[in-house]
Amino acid sequence: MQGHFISTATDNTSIGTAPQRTGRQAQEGGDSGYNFAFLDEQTKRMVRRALLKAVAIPGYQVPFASREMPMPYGWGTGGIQVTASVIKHDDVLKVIDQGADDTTNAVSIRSFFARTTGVATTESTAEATLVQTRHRIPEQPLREGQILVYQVPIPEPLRWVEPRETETRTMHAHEEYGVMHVKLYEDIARHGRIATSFDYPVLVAGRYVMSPSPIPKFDNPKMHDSPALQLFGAGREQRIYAIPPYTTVRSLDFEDFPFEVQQWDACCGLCGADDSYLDEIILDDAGGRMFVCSDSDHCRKRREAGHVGPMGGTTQTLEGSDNG
Amino acid sequence: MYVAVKGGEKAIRNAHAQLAEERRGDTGVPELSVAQIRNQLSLAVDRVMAEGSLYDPELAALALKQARGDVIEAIFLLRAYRTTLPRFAATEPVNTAAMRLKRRISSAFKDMPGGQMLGPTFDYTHRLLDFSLLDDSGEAADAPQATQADRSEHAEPCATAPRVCDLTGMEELLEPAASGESDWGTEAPVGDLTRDPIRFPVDRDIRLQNLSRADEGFLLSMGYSTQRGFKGSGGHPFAGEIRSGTVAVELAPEELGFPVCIGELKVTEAELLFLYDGSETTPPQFTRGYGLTFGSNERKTIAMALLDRALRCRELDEEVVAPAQDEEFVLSHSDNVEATGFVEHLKLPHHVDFQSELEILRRLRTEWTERGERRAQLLDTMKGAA
Amino acid sequence: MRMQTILPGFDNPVHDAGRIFRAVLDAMARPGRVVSLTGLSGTPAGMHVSTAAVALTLFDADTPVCPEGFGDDSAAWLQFHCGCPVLSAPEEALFGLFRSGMQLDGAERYSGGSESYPDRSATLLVQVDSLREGDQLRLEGPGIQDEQRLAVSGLDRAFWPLFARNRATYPLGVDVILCAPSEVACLPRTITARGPITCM
Repeated sequence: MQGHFISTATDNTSIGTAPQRTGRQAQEGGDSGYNFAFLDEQTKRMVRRALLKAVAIPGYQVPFASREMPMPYGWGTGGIQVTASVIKHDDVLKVIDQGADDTTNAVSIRSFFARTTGVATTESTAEATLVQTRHRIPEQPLREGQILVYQVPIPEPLRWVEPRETETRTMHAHEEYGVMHVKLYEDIARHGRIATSFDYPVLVAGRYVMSPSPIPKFDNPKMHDSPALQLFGAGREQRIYAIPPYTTVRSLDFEDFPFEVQQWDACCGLCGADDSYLDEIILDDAGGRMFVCSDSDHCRKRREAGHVGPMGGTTQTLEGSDNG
Repeated sequence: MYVAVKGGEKAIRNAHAQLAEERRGDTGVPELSVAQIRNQLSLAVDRVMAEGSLYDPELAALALKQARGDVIEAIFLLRAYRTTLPRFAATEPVNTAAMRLKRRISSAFKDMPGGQMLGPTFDYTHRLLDFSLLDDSGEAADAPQATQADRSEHAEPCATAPRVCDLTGMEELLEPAASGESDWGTEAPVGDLTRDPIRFPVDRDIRLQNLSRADEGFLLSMGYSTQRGFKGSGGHPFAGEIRSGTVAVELAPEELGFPVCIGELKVTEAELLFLYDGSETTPPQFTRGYGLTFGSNERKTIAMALLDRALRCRELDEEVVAPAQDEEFVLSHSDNVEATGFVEHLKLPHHVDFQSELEILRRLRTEWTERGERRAQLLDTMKGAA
Repeated sequence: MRMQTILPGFDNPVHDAGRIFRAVLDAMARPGRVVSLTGLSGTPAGMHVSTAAVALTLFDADTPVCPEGFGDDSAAWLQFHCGCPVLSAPEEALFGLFRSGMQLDGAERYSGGSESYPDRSATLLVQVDSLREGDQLRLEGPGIQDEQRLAVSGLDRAFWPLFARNRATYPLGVDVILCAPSEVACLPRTITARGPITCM
């Protein structure tokens, strides 16, 4: 009996029985010596079962036994586990962070999958079959057959109203979403408008309030009725959720204060786009700044098609530089 | 001229090269071997194994070397490795009553069968820097060597001893060890938070697993808070017994039908006793808090036992009044690999969201200014009218 | 276990499972759309290639399975290839397996999850003769643009009222994978089905 009591803390702690210290047996594509897409097949099955339930219950957060990944929590471990469980050898993978393919962590995640799966990668939204993203939805509308995988830090949309999982789970179960509206309405009372500008909560298929991940609310309308499948992975918080294609996704709002997206007075300095999400770049310490498309693929495609923004003429070095 | 910074693969490669260079440091100084770390920084190795949740001193030492001594980074390396290991079988529960003891003390009992055994402890060292360790040239010649007499000074000759809290004679006043929300029968399945996500409320098995993997500093602070009064009830804790040493790990393959020893683990175990004034159904007695970790780590084991007891509040019908009693709060924030990831992810680019906030802030600011101006105008008009 | 009677599983467990999963994910995301599942050389008597492929992709030691109307060789095959517990009572099963033409009254005994955890519900693999001809259904719900048509033959007519009752318990409920010999179509719990209309 005593022994059993003690067992609680140890017998689930695996013991390193003769780990192979000099590389592991290579398997199935990729050159890393790990399984295809890094995860073992048992973990993939667990994630895959969670994904199917997530798709069957749109917007509901399915708990899953998230694994430690070789990159830190917060770096996209949830999205990476989803991608690793979904990816197959004939996929074409695109990875973006802040809308751009060349941000450091996007580069790092892309090279992780290139190494562990050997799949083709692309910066083109149109060519990709699988897109992993952090904080943006590509400007180019997604099409049927594409899968968009979001990296999610805090999957619980009610977290800022109620930090306890034990409470929020009950609120979701009973569709008690009044507090969410109260929070948004408090914004209106104080500021005259809803002050939430990213991670703006949505109602999915008329049932579950869902966090769209920290995308700017500019991107929220792209989730609605999308022909693509949208999958969300939160590694640290151990949750997976999904929006099937052609599903109603409504940003929470009020009749007298309808949902609206960000607008800029400027257009993209490079390609002249006036309908894309813009990053503000500080150019000097005299207040000089410019706006450029956050979606690097969208911007490049436009410039290749001959569009030129007000500062487009002076920025040819953009593509060539790789200064570390 | 605007030049966008591209975080290309080259930049990442450069960062890795610099990291390797920094890790090695001055090449005029001999490289540290994994064996040296394993043998001479053994407490760091033990901590990495405990929080990395993998008993492998060699790999823990390697992780410390690779992480340049950053313990949490080393823990993370070990965790990420652990997650890829196949599981062959579940061992029998280890029996700490049969521990080959290196150290064993009780603060509750003056003496006990088997005796107190001080062992290798910092407890009574004077914290004076030992400058002789600066000179490592001749160490091998006069390496410290505890004599056999030194070893057994405070111990009975036997290397094992029963756990004092299990001894008969205390039954009346001490709750049985098997108490808990769960069914502790031998057939009860033991949960595993690395295979099933935590669903609150949890049973004691999951709580102890979480605490055993938890960050030492977090447990230390939370345990400390209970001692300073941020707790429900439970009285002053007494160290019923703290012991560390080696336990056998046994596996009972189905085809054999009996357990065979497959290895040994160094562990530290703490059992704390707390006065409990009883409830409607439970008589007044000493209740227990339990801690167990890989390797030598009394600080963490004691803190773990404090928290285990604090978190038994629901089971013991105590009011939750302090952070250390709040199961969801403690267990959700105890893991340093999770915590460090989320805290440090603030380093990653967030400029899209920042831009969103800038846009809304500019609008709010404009409207705020306009409202102020309107108010001032109105005030002027009213003054004029008066 | 009579090892010599056990038929092979996937030729390439990693890539076959990946390919089958994507097809099933696609089918679950686009309810009523028929996707092809092939690539197995042999299956136990009465078990479709599609059913076996889904089993090899999703079942393991963590998924109790309840086969209904299948023989011992199917149970042995499942245990050997998937390592899954094979149950005779549906209440604890995460997957139900119904042989073609089975009466489906028992389907209501499978777990539809709980209010707090509607994901802890069963998935039913229901074998049918064809997803190309037979009763005509019109489906609506998430994953479907306007309307999706589905044809099914070899499915107990009692299925549709059961599925409507299942829909009424949303977000609780089971999810269904209809398995024709070499293709599947999914009916997640969100789907409203109109029909069937018999076509000759």
